[in-house]
Amino acid sequence: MAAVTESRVGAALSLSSRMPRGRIGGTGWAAIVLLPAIILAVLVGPRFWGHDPLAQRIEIRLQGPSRPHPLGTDQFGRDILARLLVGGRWTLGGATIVCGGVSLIGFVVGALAATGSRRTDALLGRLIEALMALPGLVTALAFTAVLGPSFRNLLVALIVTNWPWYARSYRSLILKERAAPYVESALALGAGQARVLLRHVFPNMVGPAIVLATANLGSVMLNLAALSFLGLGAQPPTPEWGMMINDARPFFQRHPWQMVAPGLCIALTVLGVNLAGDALRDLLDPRAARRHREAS
Amino acid sequence: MPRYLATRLLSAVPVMVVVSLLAFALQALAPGDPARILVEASGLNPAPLEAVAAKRAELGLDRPMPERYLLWLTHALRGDFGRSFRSYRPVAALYRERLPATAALAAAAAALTATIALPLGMLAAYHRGRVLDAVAQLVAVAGAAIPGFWLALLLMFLFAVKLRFLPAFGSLTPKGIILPATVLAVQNIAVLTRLTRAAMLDVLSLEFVTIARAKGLREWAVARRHVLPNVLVPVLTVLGLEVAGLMTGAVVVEYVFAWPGIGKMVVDAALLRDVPVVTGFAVAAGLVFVLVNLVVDVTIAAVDPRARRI
Repeated sequence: MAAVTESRVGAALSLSSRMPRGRIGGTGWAAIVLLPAIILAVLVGPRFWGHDPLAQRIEIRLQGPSRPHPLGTDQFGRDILARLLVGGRWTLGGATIVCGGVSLIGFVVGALAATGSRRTDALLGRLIEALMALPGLVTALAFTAVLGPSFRNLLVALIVTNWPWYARSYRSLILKERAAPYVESALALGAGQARVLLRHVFPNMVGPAIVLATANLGSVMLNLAALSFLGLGAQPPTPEWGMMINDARPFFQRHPWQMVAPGLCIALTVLGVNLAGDALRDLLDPRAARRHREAS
Repeated sequence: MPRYLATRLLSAVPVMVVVSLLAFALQALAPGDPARILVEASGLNPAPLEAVAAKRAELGLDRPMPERYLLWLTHALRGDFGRSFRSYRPVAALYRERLPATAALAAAAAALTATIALPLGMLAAYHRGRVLDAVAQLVAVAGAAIPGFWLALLLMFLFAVKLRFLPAFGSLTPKGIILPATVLAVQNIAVLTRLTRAAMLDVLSLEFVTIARAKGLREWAVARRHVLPNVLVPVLTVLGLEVAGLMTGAVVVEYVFAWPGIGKMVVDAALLRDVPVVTGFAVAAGLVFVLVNLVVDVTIAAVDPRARRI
């Protein structure tokens, strides 16, 4: 997992241009169709699909697909489709919150390292390196176990384990940007470090920030779902997708469809996010895209 | 080479310091009184007050934080990571018992990964833009998106419940290792295939390959003598990372298959909030990562003289 992130982040790092000039490949179009469809379904779906995701009806438990319940019902007779639609808000929304929080911390720490003294830079560099040595899932697992399993603690744990990647990327992005003429002129005009960073460098980081976060969103989603599946994240009766697979686990031998749907949702969403990440990078950096196309 | 080795060993020290600080901080953050929990775990329930006080002094809980950290560190350096909150057994012993099962699973998964991903990635590079290449790309994209625990349940359903020729739950037998190793391999194959292919294409575009071909070497000889040694460097690095990940990151898959390894133990401990066992895992993971990286770097330095320069 870490290696995937590294190669994706590395590719995102090669961003040089801020103007969208690249092309969108075939897989990019697949992402453009897939991802908004999923987001739309998760956002407005529950309003149109009237079933209550928490309403229990024991008399119709563990049913297969039928007209009133297209994806069947779970062990409490709850409608699986309704749970999936709401559950996406937890899985996708949670991962988005993590990536947003991590982007913020990563930018602040990266800026500190890039603009601070040599010693600050060295110290932060060592810290980041050491934290990246730990597999993300391991640290997140330890954090949720110690803090107590809850969805909020899971998000905190994932933010704590993911920020070093971002900090390292932002550090080198900011270092590169500092050599740009517009930064030098702002400094020459007498603007302070903090002002230059916030007024001039920050707006130019938005593009790379989106690419970085999208490249990482998929693996955050997988980790979030995995820890919820273990019972260390969302707690019942929350319909989080990983949690739903855990709910279905005791019955999977006789009622396998109950776990097929949430798993497919996770896989398709992660696929959409990953493809979108690749497409975004290609779009924002045609040079990297050409290299990527030649290499792939 | 000895100098290179020494430098590499030294650079591992700060990593382990941060890891130890993190593990200690987690332990200190955990709610509840570890002294009382431990005395209760040792069989005295309800815990007598004087026994708790004695335990508190033994653990150094009455002393300031920096002193507590040093105490914890000196114990840890001697291999003493405290006792489990549940079974009251030494954490280090628990890990030693579970290590063989996890190592066996990691070895099987890594072997499977290498035997599939390396040839697939290389062939995809040679057959760029053709069917085989598309297959390799599909494997890479799909493998990165499928949640491991879900794939585990699907394979369990197919091979254990429907076809009935593999056991559903992991046992340390050749047949029992197939399913968990496959699930772990799928995710790693996705990463390694993509990387091998890219590394291969990088090397194939270099001039010395053209020269080797121009002087009339057969393609097989070019691949074996000139391309492979250069591809091996990035591939070994990532394979090493994957093995380190398998030793520690197999938690979810071990849990689903009830595999008697470290991962299953840690998840159970996390659910029961057995703090010493869980924080021991952070230290173990850091240690495994440092060791594996060391082995990888030394191997690469042995293969590639350029890497020996610091």
